[in-house]
Amino acid sequence: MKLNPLLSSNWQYNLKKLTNVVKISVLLSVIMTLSSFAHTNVYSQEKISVNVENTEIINILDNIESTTDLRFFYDNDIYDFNKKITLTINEETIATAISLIFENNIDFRLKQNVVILEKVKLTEKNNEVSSEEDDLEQRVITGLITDNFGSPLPGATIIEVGTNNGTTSDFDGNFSIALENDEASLQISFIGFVSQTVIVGDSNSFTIQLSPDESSLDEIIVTGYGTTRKGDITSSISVLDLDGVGEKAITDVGQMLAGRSAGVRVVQGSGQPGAAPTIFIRGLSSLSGNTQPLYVIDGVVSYSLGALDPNNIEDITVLKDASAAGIYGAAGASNGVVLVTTKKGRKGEYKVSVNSYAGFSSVIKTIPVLDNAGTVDYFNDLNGSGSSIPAAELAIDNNWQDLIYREAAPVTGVNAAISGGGENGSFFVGLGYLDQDGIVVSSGNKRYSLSINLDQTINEWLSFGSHFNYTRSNVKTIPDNMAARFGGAIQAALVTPRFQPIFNDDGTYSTQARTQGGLNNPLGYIYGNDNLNVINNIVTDVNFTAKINSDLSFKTQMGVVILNNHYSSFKDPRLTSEAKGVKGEGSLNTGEAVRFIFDNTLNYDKTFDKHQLGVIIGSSTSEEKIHTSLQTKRNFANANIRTLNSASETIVNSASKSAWSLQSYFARANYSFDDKYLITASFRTDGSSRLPKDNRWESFKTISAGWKIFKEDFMSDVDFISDLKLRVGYGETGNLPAGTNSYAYRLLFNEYAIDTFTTGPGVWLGTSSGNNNLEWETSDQFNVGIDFSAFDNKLYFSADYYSKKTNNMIYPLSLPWHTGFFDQIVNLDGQIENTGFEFAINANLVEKDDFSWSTAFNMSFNDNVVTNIPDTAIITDGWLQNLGGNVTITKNDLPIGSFWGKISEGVDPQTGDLIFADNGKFQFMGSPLPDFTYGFVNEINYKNWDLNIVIDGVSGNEVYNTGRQELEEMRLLHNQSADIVNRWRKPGDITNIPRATILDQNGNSKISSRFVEDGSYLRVRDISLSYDFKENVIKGLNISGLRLYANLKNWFTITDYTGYTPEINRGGSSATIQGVDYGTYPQPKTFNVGMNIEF
Amino acid sequence: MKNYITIKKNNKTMKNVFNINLILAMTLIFFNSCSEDFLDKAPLDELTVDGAFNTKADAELALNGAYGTMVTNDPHTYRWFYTIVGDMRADNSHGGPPGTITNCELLESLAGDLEPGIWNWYEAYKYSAAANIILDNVPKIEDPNFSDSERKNILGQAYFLRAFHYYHLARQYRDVPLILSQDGDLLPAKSPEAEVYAQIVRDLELAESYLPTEHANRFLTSSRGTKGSAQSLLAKVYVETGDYAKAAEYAGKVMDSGVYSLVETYDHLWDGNHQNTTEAIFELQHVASTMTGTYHPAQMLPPGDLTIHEADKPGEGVGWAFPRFNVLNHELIEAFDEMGDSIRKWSSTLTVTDRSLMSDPPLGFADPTEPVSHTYKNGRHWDGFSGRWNVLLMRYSDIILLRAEALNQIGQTAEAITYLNQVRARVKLAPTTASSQSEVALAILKERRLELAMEGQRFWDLKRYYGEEGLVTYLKGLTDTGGNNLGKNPTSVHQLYLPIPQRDLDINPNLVQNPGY
Repeated sequence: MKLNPLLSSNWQYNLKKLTNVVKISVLLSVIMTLSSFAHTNVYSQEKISVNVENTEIINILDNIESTTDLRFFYDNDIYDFNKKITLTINEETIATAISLIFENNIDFRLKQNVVILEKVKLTEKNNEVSSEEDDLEQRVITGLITDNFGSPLPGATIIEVGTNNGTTSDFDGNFSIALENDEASLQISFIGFVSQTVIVGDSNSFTIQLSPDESSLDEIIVTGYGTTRKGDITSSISVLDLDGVGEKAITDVGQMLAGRSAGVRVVQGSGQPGAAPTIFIRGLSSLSGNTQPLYVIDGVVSYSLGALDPNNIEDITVLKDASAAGIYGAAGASNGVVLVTTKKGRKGEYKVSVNSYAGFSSVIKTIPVLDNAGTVDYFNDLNGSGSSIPAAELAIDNNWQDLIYREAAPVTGVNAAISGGGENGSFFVGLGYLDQDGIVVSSGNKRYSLSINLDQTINEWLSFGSHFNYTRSNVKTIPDNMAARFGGAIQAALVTPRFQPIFNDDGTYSTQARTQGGLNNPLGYIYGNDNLNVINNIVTDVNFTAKINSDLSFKTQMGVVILNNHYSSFKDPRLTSEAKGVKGEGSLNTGEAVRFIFDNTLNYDKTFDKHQLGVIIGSSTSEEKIHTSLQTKRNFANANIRTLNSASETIVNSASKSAWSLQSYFARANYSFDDKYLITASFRTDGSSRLPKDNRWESFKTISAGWKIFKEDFMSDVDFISDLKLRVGYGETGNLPAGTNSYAYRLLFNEYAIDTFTTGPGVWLGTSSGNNNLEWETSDQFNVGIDFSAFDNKLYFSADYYSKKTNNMIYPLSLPWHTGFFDQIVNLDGQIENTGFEFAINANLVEKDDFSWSTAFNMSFNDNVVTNIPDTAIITDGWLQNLGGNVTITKNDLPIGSFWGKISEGVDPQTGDLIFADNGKFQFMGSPLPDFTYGFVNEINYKNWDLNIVIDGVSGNEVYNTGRQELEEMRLLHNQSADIVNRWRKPGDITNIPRATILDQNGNSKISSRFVEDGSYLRVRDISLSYDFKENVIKGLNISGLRLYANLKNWFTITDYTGYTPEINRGGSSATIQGVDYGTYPQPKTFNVGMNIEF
Repeated sequence: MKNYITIKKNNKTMKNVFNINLILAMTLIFFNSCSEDFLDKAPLDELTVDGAFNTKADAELALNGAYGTMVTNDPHTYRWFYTIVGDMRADNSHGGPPGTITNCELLESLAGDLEPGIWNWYEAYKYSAAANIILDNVPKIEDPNFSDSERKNILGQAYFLRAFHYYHLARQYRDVPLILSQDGDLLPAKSPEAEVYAQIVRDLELAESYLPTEHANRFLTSSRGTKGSAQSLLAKVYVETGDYAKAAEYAGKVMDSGVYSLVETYDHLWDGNHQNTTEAIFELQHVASTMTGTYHPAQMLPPGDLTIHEADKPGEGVGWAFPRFNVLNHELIEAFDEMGDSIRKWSSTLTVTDRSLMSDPPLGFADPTEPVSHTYKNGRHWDGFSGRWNVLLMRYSDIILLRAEALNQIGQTAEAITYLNQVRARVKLAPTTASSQSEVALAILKERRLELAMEGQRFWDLKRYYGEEGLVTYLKGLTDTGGNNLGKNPTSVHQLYLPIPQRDLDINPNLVQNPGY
């Protein structure tokens, strides 16, 4: 018989763990009915020698386990396993050995290599001879256990209800059981699945499909460098319910996260295809360091989720508080950790699945601007009659928004996955293709993805795994997020007068003849710079796990993360007068960052009596090298040949290179007593090359505890509660400066003439001063939470309160100019404090055979405030050229990056100028950070139909609408918002829109609260409807599953915001520039249809 | 305690495997980094101060960079802001048509991005820092191939550069913080003017003793510090501090060195074809390239339509429109005419009659009746940022006239007249008719105005001549011949010195604002 040691040891491991949780002695007296096997089993003939003096039986068994393939399986209660005996056995069979060890008081059964120990039944003892004959008379039931996908479940437990009779399913999911009673029912259970009871009746053969138990406390979830049971969590960890999400038309991982987890705010700041969302976990906690979570993909610390095709993601776990994230110590763990597990093959079944979809996107709304008559009227108002436009020109009426927005931008996606596994290994291969046109002409993204996951058991103690995740994106962008006058196409579509022609006489895109400031029309900005950004993203690793003995295992993992991009652009001299003037301009910018990671962990897990102890110690080494190369040339020989070799004038020829490294050692221990009291503590020390030698190392400690109240005796009468747990945790994490050598006094290269026509190299002191005292930025976080489940897990509630403080903030503090420097990177005194409360409620409202409805609601409140920073620290950001300078400030007692400016009190009816409060004193105008965010997910199943609705929203945040500021600027010969027809025209006019003025000495057009808007919104992010064809329908098609679906994204939004979309993010992940809208690429609404097929 | 179990099947190998695994595991966990210096990651594309000064070549690199920073990194001060401070603030030019920001407002802006009063401060200190790192580190270099004279040459030039930048600071701001090492106090108080000048003199005396009279060729002699450039600056410092004997002595040393002479044709100084002449004492080099080129000519902006260009100039600060700097006063043209000085007038200005000489009508050029600075002449025009037009920061005729001025002040009027006439003769002007000390002083002032028009000298010439109170009275009394806002020049003594940028006052609590602001 072929052996499968890994499988059997897993099986034993799982059951052993189970014993601690579910005190079902039944499980432990499982009777193997395949006793006939035992006699022919090779293991029964294995010769064992034992020579011990005064040794506990448990140790004897352990030693036999660790030196043979035999595995013991027993209930602690059936015998005193701590009894010390003295014994000599010389090359006897297992049967003899057991009878000697237990002095004939214990019976055993052998299934393959598993020795099941059980009490000797008195009846059997009295009638040993007939026992086998009795068995043969019993009725034997056979069956197959599968998961919800139909894959066999090996190791499921089958128990005849009301007896001690039971078995487990074999490798192929098959079982057979000899019934003790005629009218029996079987209870089938498997970790992570809902237990099922089947009435046997007349049938002798069953196929039983188990459905996964999402709220199961026994579910094993991934945490840093290990796993834990969901029920044993002592910190704040969100396990995302991704059921079915990956089988839909999801183009980006951010879409999977949005709205689904309390405390996790996903901001899709741009509608540009391929633009990654920013993710903020529990607020903003760093001034200039990283604000984004740490992404860990299959155990490999990565830059982003860019290497992942969402279709290949199995699980996402978010470590929100420091007691959970602290094991990652540095590198942004202050902002939480997102752990992603990709899909793996399942043993025993080969499966091909295809998800294919197609759809269209379009712009959600357009912004009304002046028509030609309105524009002329405004020009005359502004500039006198000097701006009169000839009537012939006014015949032209270009709706620029219609010209740049596609009516229906197509998207198609196909994902195919092949997976499967044999006894010793499994594989998953996923291929993906996405072709997504943006809603703005010319923009789009083509993404190719490949994911390969392998798991292999090499021998009884060594196993091997490997992941390879690769995406290649071809992104075409359009210039956005800036003023029209600096090239922003979205704004240009608003401020370009409608009477402007599209083309000049020479065929180039028109610039503004009648208006000001070298403005191209939006099509000129879009098509004038043909660009393509090719991004290759790889996250891959190889890992080995060695079992040292049954309690101790060692894992080594080598990972490589590669981010490579290649940006090329060409300004065609035939398309814009600007490019014509320089005979074409081409750029080629390339960059690569390669990170190497080497992690080693030793994992110890031991249960004795009521104690359970788990210890991990490990180390992690990583190193990254980054280089870029920038080249721009002009004067192309021929506009059809766009490679730089055909251009003669060099404009930019530059390169950069840097490297960093991180060395870490860590340990974590968790201990639980009686499965009621849990405690976890971890320690990590990190050394980073980014800090000066003396300050390189920093240690991070965490501790957290849990109390399973529902296990206490006083709760034993409260039947409806299935979980009630209190969690308390404290932890420390760290953050590093963004630059690789920002602490160093760096010299930069320049040039000076060495003769009349030649220059020679020189060095000069850079504008940033070094700082040999720079230290780690640290944050500590306290978290208290409660988990509650009731009514067979139909209702789940979880709430957390946290308080997070960031100290030693790394910040480039301005130095006086007289030092010769502009700034110096320092550890700023003071704190950023985030305090918050968040909760999640999940409820299975209806659970009927053909109708079910589950709902999940989460809400998070976060309060961000900066305290105790020095008064001399000037932290302003969000520069708005020509419009008043910096729009945000970070100062004491305000949220980070608050809007700062004059408070407008409306238009003075006499002058037409704005009246500013407090003589125009700059003050707080609002915060870009929401008071609270929420998500609401509904899943409704009716027969074959499945309806899924995701709603999310934010409330209490402000958006600075720079786009509108430009549209109501009224001091330049540009087109303006349709609203300015209501502008002040003459003394006595009562209006909220000031006068048109070129000089604008009052600063009506500059930064003020006039342009601050409420950014709250409630949005139906996704509505998906799918139809699942049942087996009988598709039987003839030779496929095993077929599902059709349709979904609507972003179709309904409730907001007062007047711009395209309130969810904007000009500043990306920068903490100090949030909530500034400046002609940002609008988010689209999308309609998709698709299907899933399985073979 | 004897406690062992033996199993026949492969027992030895199995045990060894487990032991080896455990040892391997511990080894990998605790000794996985490659080496001790794994965490040392020096910058790969930059040098750091530690480790950048080991050889003679390193010292030369830093010195070239100290000059380079004056042309490549945020260079405004010595491109054109020196004329804003020295000419526009006086009576040679003005800033833009009515309705724009005025001369003083421009210079006195305390915050914002582009104001000369801020840039001149920031840049002088930044350039001075480039000299400081040489003075901090070059003495420590141990290189057998680095001879004493080579080291002195480099240190001398660094001393000269530092003095040059502090001279500009002291003239514009009076009391300023003295930063003499980049390792020093980041938040010092201001040093009194006298102390600043004393430091400048110390630096220049060292430079004078360390530096050669001439470098290998004329290009290097005019573009690098020399004994002559140190002496010239000493002469300028001493007239500024009123020590005319010393000023005359050092100007005399320059004249006696034989290194410098006036170019025969005055126009060669400005025609762009005769750079690094015998007259150049310190000439800032611009080579046509994006790195080392200049946009200097285009910034001597003629009057234009304000509104058209307001929008397309990047760099506008908070709330101010882009003015036209250095629009020539009609009165300057009248001064040329009064002197009968057609040669210098023709070289230094463009008036209505010779507007055709403009190579490139500058953007937004609106008013044809306004005179324009010479910088638009003879092929000079907007070259983006890559023009090759050098800037003459010190030249020989300035030193001759300073010697004349200093000698006249100490009573040697006759000798002064000979030097004044040397300069006049070059532009075919008859010897001066002035004879008394006071007449000669006024003649020298007038001569300097025309000889050094738009070279950033006029304001301090006037200040020396009239004194602080007198200068304010003089500026207030100017008539507005061109219908322009000359009256917006300093109207009170405190305005003769620029305010210290508010940013630095905010950050450095030890700093005190100049009086009156």
